[in-house]
Amino acid sequence: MSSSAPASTAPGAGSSGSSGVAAASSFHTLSWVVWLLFALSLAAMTRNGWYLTQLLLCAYLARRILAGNSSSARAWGVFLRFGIFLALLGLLLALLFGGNGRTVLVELPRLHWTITVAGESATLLDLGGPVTLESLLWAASGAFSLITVLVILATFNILVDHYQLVRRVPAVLDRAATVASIGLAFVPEMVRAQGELREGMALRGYTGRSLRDLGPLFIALLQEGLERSIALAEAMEARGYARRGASWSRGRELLVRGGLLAGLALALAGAVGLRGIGSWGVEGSQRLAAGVALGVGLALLALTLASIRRGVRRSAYRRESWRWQDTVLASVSGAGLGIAVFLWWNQRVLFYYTPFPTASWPPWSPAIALLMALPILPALLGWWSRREHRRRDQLLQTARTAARTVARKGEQR
Amino acid sequence: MSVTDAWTAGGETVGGEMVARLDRVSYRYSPQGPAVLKELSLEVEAGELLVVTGPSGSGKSTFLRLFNGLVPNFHGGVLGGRLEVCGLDPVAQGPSGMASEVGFVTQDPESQTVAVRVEDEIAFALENAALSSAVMRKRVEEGLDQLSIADLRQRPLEELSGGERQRVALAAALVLQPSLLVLDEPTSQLDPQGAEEVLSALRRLNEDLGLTIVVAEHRLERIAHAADRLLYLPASAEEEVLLGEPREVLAKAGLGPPLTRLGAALGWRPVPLTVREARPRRREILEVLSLVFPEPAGEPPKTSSPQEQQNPESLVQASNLRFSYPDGDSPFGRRDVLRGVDFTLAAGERIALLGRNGSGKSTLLKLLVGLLEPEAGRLRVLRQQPRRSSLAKLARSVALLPQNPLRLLFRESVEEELRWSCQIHDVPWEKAEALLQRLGLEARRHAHPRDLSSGERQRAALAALLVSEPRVLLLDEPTRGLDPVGKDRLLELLEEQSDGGAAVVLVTHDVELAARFARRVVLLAEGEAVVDGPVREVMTSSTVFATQINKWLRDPRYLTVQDVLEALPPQGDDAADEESS
Repeated sequence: MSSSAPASTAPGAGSSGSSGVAAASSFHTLSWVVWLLFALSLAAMTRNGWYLTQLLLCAYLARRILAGNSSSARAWGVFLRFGIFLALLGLLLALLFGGNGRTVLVELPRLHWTITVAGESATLLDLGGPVTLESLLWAASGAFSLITVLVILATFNILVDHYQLVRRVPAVLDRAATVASIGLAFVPEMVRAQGELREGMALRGYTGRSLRDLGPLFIALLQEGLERSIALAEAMEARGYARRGASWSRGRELLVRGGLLAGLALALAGAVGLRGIGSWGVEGSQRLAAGVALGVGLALLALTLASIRRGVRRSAYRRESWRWQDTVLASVSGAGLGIAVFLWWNQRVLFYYTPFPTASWPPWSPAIALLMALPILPALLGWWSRREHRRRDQLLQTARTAARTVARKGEQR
Repeated sequence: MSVTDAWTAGGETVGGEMVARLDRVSYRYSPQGPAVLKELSLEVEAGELLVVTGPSGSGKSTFLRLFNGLVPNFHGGVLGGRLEVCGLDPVAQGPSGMASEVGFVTQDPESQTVAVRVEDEIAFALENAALSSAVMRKRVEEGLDQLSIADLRQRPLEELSGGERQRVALAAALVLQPSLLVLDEPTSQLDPQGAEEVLSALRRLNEDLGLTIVVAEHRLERIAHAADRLLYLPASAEEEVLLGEPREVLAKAGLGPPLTRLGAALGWRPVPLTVREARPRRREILEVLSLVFPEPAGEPPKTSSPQEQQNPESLVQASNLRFSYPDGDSPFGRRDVLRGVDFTLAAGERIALLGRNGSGKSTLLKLLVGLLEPEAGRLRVLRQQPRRSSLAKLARSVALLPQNPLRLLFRESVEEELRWSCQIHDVPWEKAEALLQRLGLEARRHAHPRDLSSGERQRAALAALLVSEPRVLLLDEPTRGLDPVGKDRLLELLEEQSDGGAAVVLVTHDVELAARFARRVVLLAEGEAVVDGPVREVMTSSTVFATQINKWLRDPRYLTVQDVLEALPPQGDDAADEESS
């Protein structure tokens, strides 16, 4: 991209009021991606309730300070509720399947079903038995980790500029980018539609909350989502998205589709062949054939993508500005990610929490707690930027008032 | 599909360069399905403004999507005949291939935006055309200036009003400098102010730049006078298509602004489209009217409903209502929407609730049905506090029809919707059956609500609400996106409800509709009820809220076409005919 492209996310660039504040608290897409990788890695590394609480708090503050009460920010709560629903489901399964541990809370009737194949018996289903405090704690910590991952993803989803994110998908994958842009917009739209449909149900006089009611609501939501997606895809196509060059013919389109399909199929078959399926391993010449299939498949894919790349032309209008806040966010998140991976690799026990064999409180280490607090950086930087902007606006206002007063006095004299 | 083209040179445009040519084009969505367009032939000349109108489901959207190949490339179906747009075959080129020749704008300003910020949205088509950075910057600046939206360039699209968003969509469609701009009801989802912004932008583009425009539009009063030709697509492809000079097509189709309809009813030729065009007729009409009603100003010819004449039961009492929403700009702030509203409603009343966007109209309705709770003030609906009584119980007596009727429809068919309502409110099915017939939905009872036309959807939603015979009926912008026939049917239905004793509150921006239906007008501004009075008093003492007939005659007795026609002596038509000849 040429240097003449506008860098339009510069603080306050041509904007005023709320948008000025919004611009002040936004970050470069790449710094958001680094933050996301860092925060997600931390959430995936631990089941320790203290650390997960810290991560949740960081995500909440980022959402609260940077997104305020905007309509898209409301999608955050839906992710949270979805996480809680999955967590409850996990706890229920833990109850049903029982587990290890010493502190037995309740004994459920046992259902054990085995099957014998070729003289060897295998367990098909094992339900019930003793429900232990430890197994419940283990399930709860897993569920908490899942909620944290979902909330971090939700925070990223509502704070990142979707368009800039999609723009960074290589032109060769434009179809995937279309799907991605629709997918990214899908959740906030669905949240809004879900609220309106709930209101609609109340207006019809129906206030039930049973699982049976979820059916029509779910279908109505899907229809709404589908209609919006079609409208968006139609608008994108009408504005020349995924336009192929003049040399792109119908024959070439068919060739490209065939190439992608054959390449993927060969690569997949080769990969599966090399690894073997279950206990049926592959040896000797079969292994060689699988390797050749994988190689040919990958080569075919590469050739096809290169062909698409030659047929697709696209340029970029806007260059996102990189501010010192982005440098801080990206470098701290990047360094934090490096440290976290290093510690996890060498001292995994620092992140570890297990309630087995006897239930206990999760451990707490100041160093790890500090690491887990680093994802708060977007919230802190955003808050600082907003404060600076407000102060600058006030100063400008004061200066303007003073200038007017001086001018008026001059006229009076 | 025959085209009646008596008013132009054979329906063909006269001389000049052709931008588009349709030769006996037919289309059906499936090989076995009914024809949406049948043997339609016409040519669009460079620089022409062609307005397309017709009832919902007449094929306007399909017709418009032919120009850039969205039909049949994107939507499928079977296309017959020959098509040429800007020298290209849209079917062979496909929508993305036609993008630099045909700009396209749809009716929903929200679902057609791709980017987050205005500037990115406008640049999207330029990026897809792989233009250089310098050219893109120049074109974006031009787009911003053409549509007067330069001050919005950094704003997130989410924060814009509907009118602003639609102007951004227009700029985004224009940056590739297309030869033809096609718009599918671009104002149907907008309030009057937003609609005016978009339509004036269109008129400017057509007049100043000579841009060829094909636009489907229901709000003919704002654009018909600027159109070169008008295409009327009838409800059925078997009926006659009308194409020609706007006044003549409108007169023949019985459409258009009130003055056009009055002119058509009185046999004037040509029919007027604007107050200015009708000015020469004012004196003669006033003279005839003064013979009938010699008093300069009197009581309206309309009579009040029986419920209003007696001492009607008070259904809603609200005083000093306050409400605020979380403020999107500040993490913990709130924005006041209602700041001490007083409001009453009695049985049989017909109220029009007017006001700008954001003045608190929809919020007030939500308070009345208990979806929201007032932060301060006293509210009693049927002697109960809405939020504290059961929502299900309240919904039986107080019904609210939201702007989008699909928000109320969840089931697989219209009949299932009504069965669900009967089940919720414990009402016998016979009532629902009678409603289906009364609302003209019996033929569509097995149709999915999403397959209905906008008018049918609205009637289906109303039927679902009316099953419980509510005493208060609240409607939030019910005519948005409705064609004139749909509007008339809705008004008939509301009058029926009101005559039956229900109180009806209509939130609307449409002053003509308010004048036709309401007896009382409440005007909300900045969260306060600033005006509350009889319709004739409020609507004739205002320049903003006066109807077209009232602006023309400037007499409080005459607000609507019906008022004038009812006041004219029986021989009025003949006299007027003679005058005009």
